[in-house]
Amino acid sequence: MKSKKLSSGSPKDDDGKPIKAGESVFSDSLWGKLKAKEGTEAKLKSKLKVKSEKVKKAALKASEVGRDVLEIGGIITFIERAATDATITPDGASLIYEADWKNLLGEQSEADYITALGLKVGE
Amino acid sequence: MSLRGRRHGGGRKNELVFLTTCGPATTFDPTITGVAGTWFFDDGSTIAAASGVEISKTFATEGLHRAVYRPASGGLAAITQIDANTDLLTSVRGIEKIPALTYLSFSVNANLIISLSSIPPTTTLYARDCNYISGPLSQLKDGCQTVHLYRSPSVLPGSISHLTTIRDLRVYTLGWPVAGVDMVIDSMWAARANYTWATPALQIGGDNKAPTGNVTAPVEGADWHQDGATWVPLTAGAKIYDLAKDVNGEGFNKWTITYTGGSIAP
Repeated sequence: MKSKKLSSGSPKDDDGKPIKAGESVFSDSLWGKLKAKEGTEAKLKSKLKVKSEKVKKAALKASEVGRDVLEIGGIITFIERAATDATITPDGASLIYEADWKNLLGEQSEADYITALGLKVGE
Repeated sequence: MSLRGRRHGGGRKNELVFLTTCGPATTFDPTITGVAGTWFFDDGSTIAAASGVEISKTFATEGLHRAVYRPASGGLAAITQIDANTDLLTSVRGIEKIPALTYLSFSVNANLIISLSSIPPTTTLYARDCNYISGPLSQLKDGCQTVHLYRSPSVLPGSISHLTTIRDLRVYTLGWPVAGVDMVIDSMWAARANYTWATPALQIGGDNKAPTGNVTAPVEGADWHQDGATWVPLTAGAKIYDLAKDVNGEGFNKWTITYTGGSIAP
């Protein structure tokens, strides 16, 4: 299953390498759901270009831990990652950096957004 | 029971004994589920507690206080859940007599002294931010599904090959050396065929050291060796990659693993 790795809204094919803090990777499946929810790919990408958005894609400080979103098979799990952490996932998983996730959410509640995408939060 | 027995035996057979430093401004408010019971406090007061209902107790004076929980019926074996997070605990006795739990939280009890070996089998174990929860991971009982031990620096690395039902293991920021991180990864890789959850996850980063080697796809060299048609991981880094990707198509459940080794993306 293919997936996309994004940096500031610019997608490229996932290279399968570990995902560093500040990076997001979207499975094709989730990318499709997000596109459908936002209306167009352009709108989706604009949400992920955070330079001018209210939620900055600021780098984590060494002592901070971010709350990123892991999606595998339609199940959402929240994972905590420090600035020096890297994550390797099975192919087809999505890992959304906290800032990207907050920009996707906008004013919507997390629960509503997850439900709207047809996803579930894991146990 | 004689006083001698009480002093040295850790309390009666059918009770849990908690020591807490809660006082006038801090509330002792644990929840015990599965059986109703009565709390007896060292100030002479008691609280009847229904199953699953949080109690709320403050003490008139500062200092170490004793709180004893006696289940009404069914004994300790009827207890299924204990939530005692942020209760300023220093000691819990009797818990090892509980045969099994589905939920146990001791998180954020900085001064709680307890060994992992005394914690009964529990489906969910939250014990983060506890300075003196001690022992190697190998002392965790089989049957765990969710285990959060992060920022509890007395927890030591060890084999988790026996935790075959594990789903979510968070052991980051424990100050582990390279050898400790490698030990956990090596044990997982050796038992990779035995884990039953479809999407297990490990968080072993934070201030733990980076594993040996590189988390990278197979290329003949220091991390990988090709033995016929099989790629053999030679380092913990390569084993992490294999656990996530199943390089040889063995069919085990693939892991999501977060480890020290990344850097802030530009």
